[in-house]
Amino acid sequence: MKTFIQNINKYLVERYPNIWNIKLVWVISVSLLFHIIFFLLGMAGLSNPESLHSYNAEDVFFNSGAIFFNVILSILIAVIWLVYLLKNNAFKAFYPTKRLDLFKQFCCYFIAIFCCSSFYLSYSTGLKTYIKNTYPDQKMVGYITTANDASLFLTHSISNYTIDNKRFPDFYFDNYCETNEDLIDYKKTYYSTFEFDYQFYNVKSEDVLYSQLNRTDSNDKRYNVDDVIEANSYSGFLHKKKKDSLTITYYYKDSVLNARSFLKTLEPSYYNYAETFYTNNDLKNDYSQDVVTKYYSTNKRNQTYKNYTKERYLRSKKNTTLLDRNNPIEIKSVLNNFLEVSKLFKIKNNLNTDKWFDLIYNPTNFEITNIINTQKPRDYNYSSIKELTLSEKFAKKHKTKYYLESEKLKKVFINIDDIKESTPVLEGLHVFAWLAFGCSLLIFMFRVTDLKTLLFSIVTTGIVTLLFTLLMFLIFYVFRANNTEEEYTVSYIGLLVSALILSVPLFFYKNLKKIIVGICLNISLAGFLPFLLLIIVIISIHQDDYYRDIYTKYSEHPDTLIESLGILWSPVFLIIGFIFIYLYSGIIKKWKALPEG
Amino acid sequence: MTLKEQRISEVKTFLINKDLVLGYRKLMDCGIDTQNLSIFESLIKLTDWKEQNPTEETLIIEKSIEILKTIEATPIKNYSNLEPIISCSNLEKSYGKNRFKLGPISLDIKKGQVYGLVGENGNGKTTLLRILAKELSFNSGKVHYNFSANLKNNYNLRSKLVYIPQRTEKWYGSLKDNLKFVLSSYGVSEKENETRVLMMIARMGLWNYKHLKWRELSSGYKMRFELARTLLRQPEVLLLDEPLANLDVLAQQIILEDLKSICNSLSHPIALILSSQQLYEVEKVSDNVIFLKNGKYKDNTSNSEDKETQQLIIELDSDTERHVLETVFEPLQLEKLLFNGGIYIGYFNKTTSFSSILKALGEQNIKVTYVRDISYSTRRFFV
Repeated sequence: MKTFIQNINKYLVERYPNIWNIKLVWVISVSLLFHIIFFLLGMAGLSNPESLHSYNAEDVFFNSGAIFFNVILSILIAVIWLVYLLKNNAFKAFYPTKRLDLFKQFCCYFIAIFCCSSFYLSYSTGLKTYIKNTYPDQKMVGYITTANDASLFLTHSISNYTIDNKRFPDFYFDNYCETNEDLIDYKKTYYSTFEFDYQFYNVKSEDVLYSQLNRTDSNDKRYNVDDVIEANSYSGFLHKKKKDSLTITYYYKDSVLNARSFLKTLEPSYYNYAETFYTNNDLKNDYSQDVVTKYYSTNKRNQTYKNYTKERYLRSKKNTTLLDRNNPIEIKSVLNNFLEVSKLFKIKNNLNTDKWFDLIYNPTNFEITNIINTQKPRDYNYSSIKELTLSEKFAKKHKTKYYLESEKLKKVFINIDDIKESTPVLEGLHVFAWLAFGCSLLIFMFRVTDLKTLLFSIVTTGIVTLLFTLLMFLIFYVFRANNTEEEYTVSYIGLLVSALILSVPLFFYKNLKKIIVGICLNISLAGFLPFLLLIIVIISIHQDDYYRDIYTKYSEHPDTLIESLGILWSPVFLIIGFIFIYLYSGIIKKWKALPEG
Repeated sequence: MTLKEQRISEVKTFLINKDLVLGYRKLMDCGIDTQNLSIFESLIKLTDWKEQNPTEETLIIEKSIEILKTIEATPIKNYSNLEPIISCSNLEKSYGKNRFKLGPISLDIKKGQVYGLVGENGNGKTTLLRILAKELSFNSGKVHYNFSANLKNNYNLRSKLVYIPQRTEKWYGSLKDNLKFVLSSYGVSEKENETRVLMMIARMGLWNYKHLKWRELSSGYKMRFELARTLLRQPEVLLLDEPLANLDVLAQQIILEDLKSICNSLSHPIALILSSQQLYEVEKVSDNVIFLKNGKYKDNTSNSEDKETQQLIIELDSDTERHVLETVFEPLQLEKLLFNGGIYIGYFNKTTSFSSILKALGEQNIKVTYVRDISYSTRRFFV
C-alpha cells in the first residue's frame, strides 16, 4: 500500500505538481470512500418500513444524526487536508505560475471542498436508490390499488359513509346534494338522518363574458384577471370555471329533485363511500383517460363542489359494483390483500380477514354496523361533558376494540412517492457548489495573499459595512428620504463604494501600499459576485419603475432582469464566479510581485 | 590552458592525492557544468555505488577518473557576459523620520562573484537583500536588473530573484519529492526531473537523506535542502540571508565552499550575495565584502584611501596582561592597543610587518591562542 501511494505521488509530482501539492487525489479518494459509506447508510436509512410511517421520511438524514456525522467528517477531512496543503506554496515562492495555474489551483480547492462536504448527496442517492429498487412503480401501483379497493371497509368514521358522499349511479354525480341547512328549501323534498339534512338539485350552467363583469377594480394594476372574477362573482353559484379567454361558466342549483327512487337507505352505508385512499400522478393519469367528462372541476377554491370529481365517481362506481356482486369470497380477498400490504409495511392492527369480514359484512344495504379505530384504543375512556349528537352517539355505540393504523400506510405511500419524485442531487448540488465556492475562495485568498492580509480584509469589510450603515442612517434621518429614494440611495452608494474598492487592485496598485492593495484584492475576490448582483438589482429597480409607468397591470409587466434569471441565477453566477477568478488571476500576480513598504 | 582544463586537472590532482571528499564534489561541479544528462546519470550511479561501498576508495577514484575523462571530452558552453546582473545607484531606504536609514548605496553585482554582506545587527543587511530581491520598496535611487531572459512582468522578474530568508518555511513530503516539485513547477519533463534532482541530491551531500521528511532533518541538512531547492531553479542571482546561522563550524565551511564552487560554474555562473555574522568564513569565500554600518556602505576593496588601511591591524587572543603586551609591542611602533574583554586589537605603523609581530611574540614567549592580520578584513570595523 505504501509503495502504491509512493508510486502515485511520484507520478503526480513529476507530471502534475499542483495536484500533488494540493493532495487532490487523496482528498478525492478519502471522500469517495466516505461517499460510498454514506451511500450505503442511505440505502439502510429507510430499510425498516416503520421509518416510513411518519411524514417527511426523506429528511431522515437530518433526523437520524447522519448530518452531524457528515459535518464532523467534512471538518476533519478539510482540516487534515489544510494542514498538508498550507505547507508548500509555489506561488508564494515565486515559482513560474501562469494565470491558468492559479485558476487550476482554485478549481482543485473547489473540487476538494465539494468532495469532502457533499456526503448528503450520496446519502440521498442511496435512500432514493433503495426506495426505487425495493418499491418499484409497478409494485407500488398494485399496493395502492389494493389499498384503494379495501379502504371502503376501513370504517374509521361515518362521515364518509353518509348519502352526500355517494357519486354512483349517475343521479348522484349529475345532480347536487345540498347539505347546508341554511341553503336547504325545507318546503320542498328533503331527507334526514341523524342531525343531517339532504336535498338534491338539478344543476344548470350560464356563460358570462368578462366584459359583463363589474370591473370597478380594474384600474388597480395590482389585480389580475382571476382576482377580478373572484371579486365580481354572481352570487349563489356552485362553481365557476374559465371557459376561454372571454368567457366564464357559472354553475347553479336548479330545481329540487325527488331522489326516493334512487335511495336504498339513508343510514351510513358502504354504498356511499367514494373516497380514494391514496392516489399519485400515475393513477391520476389513468383516470384522465376515462371518457367521463362533466363540467366539474377540481378547483379547490370552490369547496362545496370539489367532491364532484370523476375520480370519486369511478371509485363510487367500483365500490357499488363490488357490493352489488355481494360475493363474500371476493370481499374477503380484498380484505386479505390489504392486510398483506399492511403487514409488508408493518402497519399495526389487530384484524384478520375473517374478523374484519364479520365486522363489515351486512348484506342489508351494507349499512355500517361497526367502527374500526385508527389506532389501538386506550383501556380507559374520557367522559365528555358535552352532549353527543345523534351521529356521535351512533359512532360511539358501534365502536369496536379493533384498529388499523391506516393513516400510517397513507404516509408510507406519500413518503415513497415523495422520495421517488425528489431530486436531492440537483437541489443539493447548488448548496454544496456554493459552499465549496465560498470555502475555496477563502483558501485561495489565504494562499495567494497571507494570513495577515486576509484577517485585515475581514476587519476592513466589517468597518466599511458599519460606516456604510451609519452613513445610510444619517442620510435617511437628515433628509427624510421616501421608500423609492431609499432604494436608489442605498444601491448607488453601495455601488460607488464597491466600485472604489474594486478599482484599487486594477488601477492604483502601484500607488498604494501592498497591504492596502492586498486587502482590496481580497475584498474584490469575495465581493465581485455580490457587486454583480447589486448591478443587476439596480437595473431591475429601474426596469420595474419604467414598467410601472407604461403598464397599468402588474401582471402584464415584462420580467425584470433579476426575474428573468429566476432559478438560473445559481449556475449563471457560479460560472461567472469561475470566469472572474480566471481573469483576476492576472491581477493577483501583479499584486504578488509588488514590493512591501 | 582553458578554465575548463584547469578545473579538470585540479579535480584529477585531488583524486590522485586521495582528497576524495573535495575531489568528488569538484568532479560533480565539472559534471554539472556540462549539463549533459548522461554524465549526470553516470555520476548518480557512482554516488549510489560510493554510498554503498564507502571503503572502496581506490575503486571510487578509478571510476571518478573515468567519468572525468568523459567530462573532458564533452564541450562546455562558457558563460561570457561580464555585464553586471544587478546595478544599483544611490539606493536609499528610510523607515521613517528619525528612524533607521539605509544608503545611499551604489553596487554592481556580477555573475560568478560571491558578495559577503556583513555588519552588526540592525545595520540594514536584510533590508538591502530584500530591496535587491524586490521584496521591499526603496525611497530613492535606481536598481537595474539585467537578466538573460526577456521578462514580461514583475512576477517573472521576482521568480528570477531567488531570495532565501533567515527562517525558511516548513515543507510537506519527502526531500526528494519536494525537489521534484520545483522542477515540475518549472515545466521540466519527468525523465529529466528524476535525473536532475538526483544529481543535485548527490552534489549537496543529501544522498542518504533523500527520503526523509522535514522534521527528520537537522538544521544543517535543512539548509542544504534549501540550497538544493534553490539551485534547481538555475538562478542567476542568489540572495541568502544568514545561511550560516544554526550551522556548526564544519558545516559552515562546507556550505560556503559548495556555494563558492557552484557560483563559479563555467556554464551557469551565479551572482551570490550572502549576509552573515561569520566574518572570517565569509571573507574567505567572498570576492567582495560589503560592510554596512548604520546603514552606510563600505566596500572592502574600494576604501584604499581609508586612513585605517594605512596601518597594520592585528587581532590577538591571549591571557597575557595588557602592560606586558604593550612592552613587547613598543619597539614595533604600536600606535594603539584596544582590549574588549576577550581579544586585543593592536594598531601599528604601516611600516611594521606582521611577521615582526609574530617574531616578537615568539621571542618573548607570549602565550597566544590566536593572532590574525585584519588590516584588510572588515573585522577591523567591528571594534
